[in-house]
Amino acid sequence: MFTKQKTHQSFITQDHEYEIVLVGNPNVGKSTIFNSLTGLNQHTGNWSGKTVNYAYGKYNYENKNVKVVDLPGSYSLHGYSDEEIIANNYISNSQSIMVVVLDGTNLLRNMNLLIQVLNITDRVVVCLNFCDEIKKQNIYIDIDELSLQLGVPVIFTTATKNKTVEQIKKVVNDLYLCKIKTYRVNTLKVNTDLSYDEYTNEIYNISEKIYEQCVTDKNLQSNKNIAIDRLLCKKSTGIPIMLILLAIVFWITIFGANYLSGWLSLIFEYIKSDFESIAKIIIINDTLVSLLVDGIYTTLSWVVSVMLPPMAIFFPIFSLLEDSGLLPRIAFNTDGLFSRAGGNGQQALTMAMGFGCNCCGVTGCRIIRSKKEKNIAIITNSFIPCNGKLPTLITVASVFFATTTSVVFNSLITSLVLVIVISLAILITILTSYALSKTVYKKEDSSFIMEIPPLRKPQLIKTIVYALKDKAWYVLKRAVVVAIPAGIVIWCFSNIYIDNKSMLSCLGEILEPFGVLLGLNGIIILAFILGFPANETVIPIIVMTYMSHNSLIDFTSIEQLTLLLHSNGWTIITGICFMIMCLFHFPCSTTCLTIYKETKSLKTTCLSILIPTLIGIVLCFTINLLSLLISLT
Amino acid sequence: MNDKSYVALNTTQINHRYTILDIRCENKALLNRLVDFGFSRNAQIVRLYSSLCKGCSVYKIKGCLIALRDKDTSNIFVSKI
Repeated sequence: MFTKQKTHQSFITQDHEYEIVLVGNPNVGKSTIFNSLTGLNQHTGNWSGKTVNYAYGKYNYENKNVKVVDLPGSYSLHGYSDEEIIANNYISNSQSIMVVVLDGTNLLRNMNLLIQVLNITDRVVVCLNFCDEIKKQNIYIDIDELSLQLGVPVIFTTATKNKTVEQIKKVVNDLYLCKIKTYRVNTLKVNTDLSYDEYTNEIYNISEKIYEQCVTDKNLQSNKNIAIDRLLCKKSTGIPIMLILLAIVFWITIFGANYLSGWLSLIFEYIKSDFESIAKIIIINDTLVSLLVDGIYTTLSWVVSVMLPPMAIFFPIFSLLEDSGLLPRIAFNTDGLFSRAGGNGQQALTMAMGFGCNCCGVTGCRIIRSKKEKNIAIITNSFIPCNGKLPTLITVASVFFATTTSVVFNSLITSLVLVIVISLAILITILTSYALSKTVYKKEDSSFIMEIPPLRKPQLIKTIVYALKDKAWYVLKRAVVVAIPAGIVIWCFSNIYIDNKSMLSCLGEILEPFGVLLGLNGIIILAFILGFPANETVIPIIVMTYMSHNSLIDFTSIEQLTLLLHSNGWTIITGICFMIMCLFHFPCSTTCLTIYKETKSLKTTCLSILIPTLIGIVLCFTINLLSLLISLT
Repeated sequence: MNDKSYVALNTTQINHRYTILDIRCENKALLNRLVDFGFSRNAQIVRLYSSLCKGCSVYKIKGCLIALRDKDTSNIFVSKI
């Protein structure tokens, strides 16, 4: 029947005594258990396919170092998707203790994988996760009977509780020390010579027998989920709900970020003079002081005060939506649209991941099984503004559109502009997907099959803390790592003079005709090119260039930035074209590298660079041309 | 499949219980995944709702909600219980 996967080298190394492997269906809480066990921050969320590769971690229990491996979710040991092959290779060839995590509210389906694992090894601990939901839904599970039927220890767990973590550690340790005896149960043996459907049916028959003996499901599960789903799937209610939700998310982000940015810029401005004075005392050379203050400090303060606040607010809100189980519903709802465009509804999930980072979005495309749809999703992922582009868009939208005196009204206008910009990005994604499916990637049958997770109340505090600790901190670290060298490069470019002109100005002048054609200018084009390593640096490059021939020093506030941009010839058309170009230009270097790693195709990587850039050029040129025609008439 | 009362899964009534009679799926990968989700002869299934953009529906099978395209479920034949 099905073939065994390629062998995998199990890695028992010296620095740990034994290894445990977390196994289970997608979205059963493996990564949450992994995080609780190891204290790490592996990405979690209420939808299947988040974990696309191994994650490693360690914990110490009774003076023993234990290695923990978190495998991608797998429905079967004979799966065919990339992440399932990864998981299956590992399980089939590992001597480690398997911690099989099951969704206790959905035991029957989850037992399919468990029985397959038990046919390979009896070094297994079964965790019945979502213990609190099991109680709420009035499902009674006799774990002693279940343990007897399976021949391995079974425990109730709630992944986020410390008690659970200690319980898992103890049971695993007892199994390692042979304090708990496990055994192979004959009734669980399945003939592997059967065809795949016969094999799976036999497993289901075994599961059903065990389920009947061990589980009393009073079937009191409320139909609230289905009622909400129906509301989300109706045209009259679904579309407004999604648009309003998007607008609210952006409004909270922008409104909150305004205050945070203001406070941070005040702090940076306050520190700047002292910092400069100290730098002058320590470093006597004026050029080096200028490099430190005008180059590194200024760029860093820009990145931190303008880029960090929106991300620090956006990520936690987005994580709450992710935890609630809304994302798979968006994927399901949009599949009809994407499939008509030659794509897949799961593309919506990878696009959502792209808001955080396009690299994550590209890696997340592994959940799409069809190669054609996967390539389309990868190429179009950079159309979604990542954490580097999003604050840039917010800033420029605030400069050119939020011009009233009311902070609340300004935030509303900026949110609306952002919703329009994101809608444009989605529209162009769909159109490009259609064009690609009719030209480069045609002739491939595709399908869409996805488990819809139950809607869950997100854990407010924990999710916010994790999102801030993990994602926002990651963005800040990356921004700082990028900002310092970028500050040095930008400073050098703006302070090395050729014929009394800085290098930045010279290069800007060379690119000026092309920039003007697109409704921009040479400096903006140069900023996009120099921003290839990281999109965060585009605005600082522009500001730094303008400052080299401008007396404005405090540019960290939106008002000062508005003055700076207007005094350098920016109009509303420049602002619009800048936003378009920001959305549609080549992905950053890290994303390009990830695309190549994921596809191993130079063609796809080149298409990922060329397509958005060409779209950006065409759109900007058209807008500029139209504005010129309107102004002429 | 001699029973004349069979219908394709995508045409079933919302919230009505059906039994799967036959799965005629040529896409091997999809068939395997369907099997993983419990799609097999005699399994009971309920169509719950359709997607906003049409072309997709959610079904309840073995206690789980599974989203599938209508073009794929047109090859799954069921009869009403």
